[in-house]
Amino acid sequence: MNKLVEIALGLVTGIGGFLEAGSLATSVQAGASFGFQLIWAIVLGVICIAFLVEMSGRLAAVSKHTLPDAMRERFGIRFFSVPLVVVVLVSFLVLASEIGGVSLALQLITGIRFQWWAPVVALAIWLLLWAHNFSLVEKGASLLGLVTIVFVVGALKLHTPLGEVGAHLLPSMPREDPAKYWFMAVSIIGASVSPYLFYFYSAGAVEDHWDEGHLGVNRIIAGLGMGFGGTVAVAALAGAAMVFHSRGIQIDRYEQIPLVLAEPLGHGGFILFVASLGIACFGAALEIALQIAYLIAQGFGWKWGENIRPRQAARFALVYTVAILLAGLLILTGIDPLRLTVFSMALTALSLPVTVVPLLIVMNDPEYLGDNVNHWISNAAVLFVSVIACVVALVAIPLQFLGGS
Amino acid sequence: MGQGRGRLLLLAITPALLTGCHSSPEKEQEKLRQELTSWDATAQLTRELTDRGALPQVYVRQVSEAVEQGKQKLQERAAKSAP
Repeated sequence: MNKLVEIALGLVTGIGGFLEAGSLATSVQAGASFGFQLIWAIVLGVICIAFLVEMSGRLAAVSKHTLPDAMRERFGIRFFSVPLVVVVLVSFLVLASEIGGVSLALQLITGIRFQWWAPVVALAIWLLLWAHNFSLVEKGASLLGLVTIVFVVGALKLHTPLGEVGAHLLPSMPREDPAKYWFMAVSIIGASVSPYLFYFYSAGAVEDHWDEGHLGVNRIIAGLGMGFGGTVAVAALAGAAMVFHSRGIQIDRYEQIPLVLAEPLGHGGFILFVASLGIACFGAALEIALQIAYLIAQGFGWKWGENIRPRQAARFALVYTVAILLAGLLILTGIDPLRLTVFSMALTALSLPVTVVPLLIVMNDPEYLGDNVNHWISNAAVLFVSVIACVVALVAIPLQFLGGS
Repeated sequence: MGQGRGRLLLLAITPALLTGCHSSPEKEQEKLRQELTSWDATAQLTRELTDRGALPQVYVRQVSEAVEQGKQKLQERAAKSAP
């Protein structure tokens, strides 16, 4: 019975937690610009993240190590500092994007510019973490995050041609604007394979005292949770294709995006969009702020834990405090949240090999995994997606800025 | 993937991207036209949905501002790219 509850909670987290500023913005922008053509990028990203989440859960269950812990121990602090710096930098930008997303949701319903909401949002995130109510908030945010299923309802109400969706499950060459097409593709993959998802998952598994008896639960949560979450992202892309692409609308500002649900679902659709954006980004911001603190604390061997009072883990609390403060300040400058989000996701894709290859080495080490080391299929799938995403990002990011609008 | 294969992939992708990125004056004009259509269509869709009572006024004002600013930027770009 306990296992069933764990699976249910894991699935809720997978569905409710998958869609956030990055996956929403990249899916809708891609659907508006290229119709259904980029659905394959979501599929590729979901396959990759499902494997990575499963691996990080397995590592925690078998070795009782979190990812940073195992990486520091296996490679030493000098080597570990490279992925540490990269993941912290990328996660910081993603944290700012999420704070921007919540602030934008508040702007949409109040009319007050998003940058003025950034300090309020940052303070709310910090207060919740400081008061160590995180477990309750995380589960609450995931449960409320189920509101994002409204994108599936919207896509169905728009009579999305499922044949068209199916036809684009495999990659195809762009019909126009290849630089933008590949830039969007890597941004989508980066949004799906955000390192915070699997780093955070391993920390959660260790805190929940997972053991080898959890390997089956872990597999189901990783596969189904990410699969259902990916379905919501596909629905957002399909909705954008139906509402925006058919009218020749490109998404240049966040303010355009609520129309994707207001068109099929009326006023309720608008409200549910704002709720989805606010809740999904708030939940993600909590997780990312905490993950940055986990990463640094675990990497340097400091005391850490979501249920420990700040005074007992002062350096851990200081890290998330500084991260939230700086991310809030970045949004306060008035930086365009949509551009920041899409750029952060492309950077995430670029950094994938740095974050993923050390993980794969650990996952193939019997010292940590015993008989539960990786199968060659999971090695190949993750390595393939990461390297391809990185190579394409390496070319597409500069070209997007040189040639893009 | 080996280094050689990675380089091969890079070589295969770069020309395709570079071709797509080459921005002649005609292409720039076409891009500007598409973006103008996009803003006009955004305004049109917002009007339709407002008539159906689907959007609150506070949001409609924000979209109108975004459309106005978007068109303003297009005008500036058009002026810069004019011969």
